[in-house]
Amino acid sequence: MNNASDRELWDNIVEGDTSAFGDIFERHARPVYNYLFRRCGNWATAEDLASLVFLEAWRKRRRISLTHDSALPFLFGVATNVLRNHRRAEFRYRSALERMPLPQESTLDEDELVGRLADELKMREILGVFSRLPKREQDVLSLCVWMGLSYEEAATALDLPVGTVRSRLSRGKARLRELCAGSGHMSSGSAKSQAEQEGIC
Amino acid sequence: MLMDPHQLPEQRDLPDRRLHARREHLLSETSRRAERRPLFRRPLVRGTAVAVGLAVVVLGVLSLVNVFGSNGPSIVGKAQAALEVPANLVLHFKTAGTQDNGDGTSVSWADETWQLGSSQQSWRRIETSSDVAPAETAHTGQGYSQVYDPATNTIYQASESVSQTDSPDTFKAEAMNLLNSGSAKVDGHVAVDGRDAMRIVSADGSLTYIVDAKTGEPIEWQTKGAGGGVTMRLTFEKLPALSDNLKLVDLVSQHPGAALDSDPQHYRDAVARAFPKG
Repeated sequence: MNNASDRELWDNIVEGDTSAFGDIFERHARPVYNYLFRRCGNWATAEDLASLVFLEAWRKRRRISLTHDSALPFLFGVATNVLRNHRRAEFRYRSALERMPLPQESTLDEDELVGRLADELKMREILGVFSRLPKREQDVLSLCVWMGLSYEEAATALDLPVGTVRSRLSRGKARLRELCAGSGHMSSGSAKSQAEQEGIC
Repeated sequence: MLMDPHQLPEQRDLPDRRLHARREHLLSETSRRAERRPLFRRPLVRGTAVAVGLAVVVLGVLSLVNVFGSNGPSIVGKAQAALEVPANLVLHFKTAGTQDNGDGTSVSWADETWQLGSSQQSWRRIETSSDVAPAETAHTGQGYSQVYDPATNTIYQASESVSQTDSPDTFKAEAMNLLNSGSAKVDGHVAVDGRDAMRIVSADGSLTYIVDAKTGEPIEWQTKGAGGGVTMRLTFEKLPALSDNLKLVDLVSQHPGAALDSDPQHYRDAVARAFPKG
């Protein structure tokens, strides 16, 4: 693994160094993949979207000056856009995706498969409640709370002022509490009681 | 649980072999894109391209005058011919896209492009998204990418070694792939805004291309996937390469009072401002 910093690697990437981009992929594929899973609730979809995120990051490489030592906030920002525009991204990279070799066989053992299925069920329930928040609050909450980004990093990812990140985070948390407490944001109590019973809140 | 990341499903790794396959695919695609250079800078290729272009025009004309059969060109043939733009015409191409996310939300955008012939070298484009200001960019036949900044009334430009430009031909390439696939099916007539149109559908049903029944010109492009899809309404207009129309391709002609700044870093900064979401 290359010991260069993300910033140094990015300088090379801007010049067209695909090997440096491979290093960035190895460094950050895991958090990007997990972020996408937590937003979409499906491991296979998250894997495909991760490819789109890195293809988009390559396309935008010259437009970006890394403002943090890590490329991760930028990649999370690209991932958030891909989640929002994934059909358009799929259109842009349709030919590239068609060239992606399909896995010949399952590379997961039975325990891992069962675990992943359980993850998907759990995440689907969580997203059932979470998706009731406005998208802009989902973006901030998922980056800051679920993925542990600082306010500054989330601001970079979402191209927002830090103050806006803080206020959206605060509003999002309050709204989530309301959703869980069922103060009128849940329809007919069913979602609320289901969420409570399943321990989502 | 929603506010406690420890209660979420644990983070997992991509399985090693899949990670490796994805990495190799990514490197292959990025190498392919990094190596892509403007074809028309090389005289031999330019000459060949001109010859091929002329052949396409001749074949298109022959097919239109019904040399190859008594039934005239098929709608697929017309659609293929409609996508070819001779070098002596300016293509004015508008796209209004809507992405249905399948969850009750949607995203929309619009692009308007003026392009000299089928060349990917001379074009100007205005991109509009639902949540950011319009961005106006261009690519010149001299190999410069440009972006216009209305705040400073400045055109920033950089050579190809610095700039990152997208081909305006993504839709055209996808449509040609469908038409050339040999498996596209003609799926009957449909009326679109009063126009008699025909549906051309991919074998797997995921792509639908709607074209004018008489001319084969593009009207609508639809892609469908699990839980959503994209619909792009298309306007395709071919203009003679007269002086006024050539100005439509040229960013400097559109902003005659604008300053021209060729500093590469200023260009990058201007692009970042024009596309705040990348």
